[in-house]
Amino acid sequence: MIGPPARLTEARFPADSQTALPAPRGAPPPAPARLRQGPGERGFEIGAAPLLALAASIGLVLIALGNNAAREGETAAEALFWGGLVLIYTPIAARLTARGASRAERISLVLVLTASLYVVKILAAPTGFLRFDELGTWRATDAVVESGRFFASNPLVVSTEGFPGLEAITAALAQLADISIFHAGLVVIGVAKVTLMLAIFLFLERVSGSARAAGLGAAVYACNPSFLYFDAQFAYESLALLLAATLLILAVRWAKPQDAASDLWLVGGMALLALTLSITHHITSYGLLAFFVAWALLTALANRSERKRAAVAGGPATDGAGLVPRLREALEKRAALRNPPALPAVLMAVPTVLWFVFVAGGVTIEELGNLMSETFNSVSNLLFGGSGPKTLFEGAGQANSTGARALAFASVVPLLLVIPFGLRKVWPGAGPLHLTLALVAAIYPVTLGLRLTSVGVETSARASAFVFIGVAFLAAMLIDGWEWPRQRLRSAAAGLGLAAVATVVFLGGFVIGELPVTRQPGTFLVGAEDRSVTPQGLSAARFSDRNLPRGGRVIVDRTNATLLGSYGRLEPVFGKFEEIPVPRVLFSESFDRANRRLLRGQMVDYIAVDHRLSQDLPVIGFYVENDEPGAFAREVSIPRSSLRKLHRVRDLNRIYTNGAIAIYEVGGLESG
Amino acid sequence: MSRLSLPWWGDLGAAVVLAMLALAAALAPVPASVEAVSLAPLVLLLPGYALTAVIFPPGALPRDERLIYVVALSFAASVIGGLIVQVVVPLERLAWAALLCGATVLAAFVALRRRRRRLPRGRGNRIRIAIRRPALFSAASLLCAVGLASVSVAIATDGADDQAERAQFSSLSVLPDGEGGASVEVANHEGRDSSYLVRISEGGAVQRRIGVELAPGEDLRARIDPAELSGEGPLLIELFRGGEIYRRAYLRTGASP
Repeated sequence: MIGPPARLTEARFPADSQTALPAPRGAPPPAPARLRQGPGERGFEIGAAPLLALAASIGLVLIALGNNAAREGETAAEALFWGGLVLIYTPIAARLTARGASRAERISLVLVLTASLYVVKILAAPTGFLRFDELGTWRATDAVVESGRFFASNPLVVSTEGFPGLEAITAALAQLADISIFHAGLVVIGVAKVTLMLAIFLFLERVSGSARAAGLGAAVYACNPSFLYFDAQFAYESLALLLAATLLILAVRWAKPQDAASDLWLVGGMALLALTLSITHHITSYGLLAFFVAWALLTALANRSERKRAAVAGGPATDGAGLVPRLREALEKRAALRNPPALPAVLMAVPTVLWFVFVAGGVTIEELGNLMSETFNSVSNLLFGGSGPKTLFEGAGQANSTGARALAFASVVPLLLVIPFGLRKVWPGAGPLHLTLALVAAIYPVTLGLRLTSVGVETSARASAFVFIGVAFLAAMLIDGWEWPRQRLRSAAAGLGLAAVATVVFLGGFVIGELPVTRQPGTFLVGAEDRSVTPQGLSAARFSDRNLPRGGRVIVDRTNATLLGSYGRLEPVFGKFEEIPVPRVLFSESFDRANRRLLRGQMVDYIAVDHRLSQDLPVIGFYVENDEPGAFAREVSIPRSSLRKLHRVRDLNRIYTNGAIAIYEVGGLESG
Repeated sequence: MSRLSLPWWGDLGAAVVLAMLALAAALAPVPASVEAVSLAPLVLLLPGYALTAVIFPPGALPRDERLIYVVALSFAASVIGGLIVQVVVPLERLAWAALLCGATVLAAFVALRRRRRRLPRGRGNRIRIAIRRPALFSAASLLCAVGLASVSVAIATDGADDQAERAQFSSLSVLPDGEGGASVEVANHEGRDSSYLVRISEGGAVQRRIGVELAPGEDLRARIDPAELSGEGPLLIELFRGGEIYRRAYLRTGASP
């Protein structure tokens, strides 16, 4: 069914037909739009989009009911949840495959899909932030609201100290509109998420020259394992992706000059966005910089081979490969600049490097350095026999059902097939931008490999938002290039078949990206991120906020650290003191001299003990931090006696208890 | 489809007026709903609209692409503007309003100058904005979809609230008050009326008993005067519920006068 290789033409930007001033005197006539539209294109016709929005909203009701059932421990919970997801995704994916849909309908469908999936994230936690990163970002935003300044330290997510972009916007909205940080955060991330998908649609439309390919690409992008929850959470990457996508579109516009936009102001706009992105998120800045550099290098290589060919031929070559006319056009427009993507690369590199050197280097190294070294160690242990592989698509303490694992494996197969076939499709006549996107897609199998280690899962999750741009591009080019059956029935069957495969990829991506226990809310579990946040924990945090000095240093498990460190406004303590790991205070059988030394050395004011930790092993593999003794390797939970030992220490004050959680004040500690 | 015709400065003029109104809303006491509706665009849309107009003149961008720049550049205005302003003054409500209003007005001014230079001479330069109304069926479907999505959020919120109510616990706290006494707090999260007895002892001797019935969500706050405390032994607070000890908190150091 794969047709002959398409000759790729990166489309021109169409002029605005809706908002127009008369052309200035002597101005050249506007360039005709070359985007391929569906045959059904008749202006602003959104076709089936309202009906599919209605179907998606019914899906949302099913998911809400499913989540409530999960909170009650009822068996129908999963069926309602997965059924709701299918009702949201599948009809929209099926319609996006159709040849007859108009461009406006495709855009509407992508926006409906994105908004609906964002609401799915809200339905999981409709009353407040629960996730570790979200509560860390809440703390950073609260610090901006309270102090009016950026750069407050944050023990929960250390790098927010150096990347205050999201906090700035959320604080501005919360203060101006007089709403809570939670509601302001939902609005900011919601707007960013919907706009991001519009940007991805337009970018893919630009590079593929087809609105259908763009719609399909957007649907594939939504399959990335981080899309549904991780990149919809209140955290800096969710915002940075929009900034990166916008900058990417501007860069493509720069590389394909138009009369309409002034070069100087366009460069100014790119510089502004590059600076904003540098201030907002490290990995996205570095990822986009790497993309621009690769694009510029490939363009330089293409220029060089073109010059050689032209010299051999004794004149300008026209090999019909698609690259030459575009290069000639670009060079004619900017004679002095032979490599258009080089400028966005420079504009991205300068603020990124300066921000790293003068502002955020320390926190970046602290966060990414740890992550990278842990990932490297895990991978090298795996490769050289230091440890066995982790079971693919399994959480640390909770197993996926057989069906879920089958879904996860089945979702990977089409994506792995897309890469070679997609490359075959785009390679002939591919320009530097297409090659760069293909290179990005080729990283996808590597990110899967990282999932064989416990620590690599996080790196893989972070990478998927970027890698899927390339995968979406190849998938879109491949599918859009297929010879579609002309008969209505066969065409519908092909569309449904494709939508079914896309649904498997979407659901499987969600299985891969999210722990089994955090896909839906439910009853309390030990060390299970949002599933460990309970009213008792929130009550302890509220007590701390009302009664304890701000910034008091507390030793506490991970979940309660996020609550006490955010809503409780305390300072959770992690790490080691004189090689004594902080979690030892909670884990040791007796309260000994080493514990006392650690408390004094770390100037600890409080110890918060969640007695429920002894009920089970932590789902994420550790209780306090991922390098604690026994992390990912425990076979029995913390003994109850270890958690109750503080009750017997005569120089600790038990100042708060709610049955599950007790807070001890470390007052007048003797050397013991 | 109908067309709205505006003077060549009409859209940016409207952006400036909206920004000024938002600044006024930040300065004057206005109802919360007006505040949210008038001030949210100052963060999400207005600076970006004016900045996009600086880069791209009318007719240079399709509407969908313009929307992306409007949002992204509005965010950029808050981030970069905030970064600069917070060096000089703390970013409070008025500082944000002035910053974002100023950014909008300044960018609109630059955009209008540029736009004026590009205009052909003569009168009648107007911006035409196409307004397309969706069909009745489409509009009704979309409204129903939004309504159902809101219902789903309401269902989920109810579910979360119900789960929180089922937690059923009571909390007890004791803190030194800094003047040699202490404060005791009992909070009822049992989801129903509950009777408690609080027993306060020092060095093994009972100092006081407090019986109380608390409604769900209600709390009891009691103060222990320094005069009640002898300073001999730890201060123990026991909470009884149903005749049995339910919670226990204590100050072993630093509570006594």
